[in-house]
Amino acid sequence: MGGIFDRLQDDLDARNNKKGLSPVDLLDMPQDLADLINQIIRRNGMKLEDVAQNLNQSIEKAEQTLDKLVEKGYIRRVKVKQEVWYKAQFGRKADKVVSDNIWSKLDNIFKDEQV
Amino acid sequence: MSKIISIHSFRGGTGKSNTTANISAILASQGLRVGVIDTDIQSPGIHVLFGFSEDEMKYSLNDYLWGKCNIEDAAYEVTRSLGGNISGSIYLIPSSIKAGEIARVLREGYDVGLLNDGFHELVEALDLDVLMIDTHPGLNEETLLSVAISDALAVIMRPDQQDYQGTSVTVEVARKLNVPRLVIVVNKTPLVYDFEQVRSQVEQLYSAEVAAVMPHSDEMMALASAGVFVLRYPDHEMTRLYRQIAQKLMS
Ligand SMILES: Nc1ncnc2c1ncn2[C@@H]1O[C@H](COP(=O)(O)OP(=O)(O)OP(=O)(O)O)[C@@H](O)[C@H]1O
Ligand SMILES: [Mg+2]
Repeated sequence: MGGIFDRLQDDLDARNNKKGLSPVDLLDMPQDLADLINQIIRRNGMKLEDVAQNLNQSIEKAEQTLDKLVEKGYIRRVKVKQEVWYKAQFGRKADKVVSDNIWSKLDNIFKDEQV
Repeated sequence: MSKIISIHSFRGGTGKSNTTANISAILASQGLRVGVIDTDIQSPGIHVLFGFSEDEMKYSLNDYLWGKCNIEDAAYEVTRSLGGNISGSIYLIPSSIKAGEIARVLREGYDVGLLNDGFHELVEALDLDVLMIDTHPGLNEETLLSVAISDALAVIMRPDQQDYQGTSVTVEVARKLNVPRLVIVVNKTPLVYDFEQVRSQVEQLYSAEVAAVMPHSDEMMALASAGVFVLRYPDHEMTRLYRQIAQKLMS
């Protein structure tokens, strides 16, 4: 046992991510988890068999891993021509670094412009 | 197989946009179909190098991110207007330079998945051989996403102590995101420096290949982003170095 699936259980259970994936998340994930999600992003989606091969795991174990990632909101299942693919589930980027105040000030400056 | 190439630097003003434009022109001159996307939504600029004006910009990347158009509707062929002997094509996907639109994207954010889809759709829709991504300095979502999907990444730095530190952050991130090909470009090197020494220092520091050590160039300064250098100065040393970088990124 051991390996990515067990680590996923612990690590992902500790995370609460329903807002989808941010590329920033990849930076503070355990490397094997980041590698998997990165692969999925890079190939713009992967099939279960490819993931199993990639992880060097059985189809069943790979599917459990993917289920967990779907449950956590990092990836989603999509059907492409009768086949199930797993794709990254990105969230929205909202820059909250700057205080909301600045935006209303900017709004006043730019209010003449049509957006 | 098509390739996605990102050009990035931790600090601003290192020469990303110029490098992106020049490498795009070199690859298009070799007959390739090249897309250039400006993901520097906060401070776009690469359209200037291609002589592309705001009035021609019916749709921009911003419109795509707000669901107003398809990504290919925001792509403009700029090959002819560049002049020069380009047998391939260059398509530019600019970001809006309207202050209000920049403010809106900063305030409301956007769907990162849409940007990701956009990269892939562009390659398909325009049948691109290469998609070049010009980025905003530092680390943000657009940058990380573009690094995460890139087949090759050029990290640009000046031989400056602040750049040295910042570059190590970028290199670390690129490694974490498994970029298959990473090269460093040292730009704006003062002519009084020993170029070979700079190269070996940088290579040693980051354990990464230096694709070129580019000089600080007065001709480049004087061109002042009013055009694409390699098309204006085909026989210049800078042009030779840009070709070298292009070749290393494509190999
Ligand atoms: N080798 C060089 N020698 C002299 N000037 C250069 C050189 N490379 C770039 N420049 C100049 O440096 C300035 C910044 O270049 P550029 O816009 O390409 O940088 P950038 O990294 O895209 O900047 P930003 O971070 O603001 O997007 C421009 O005026 C450009 O002409
Ligand atoms: Mg730039």
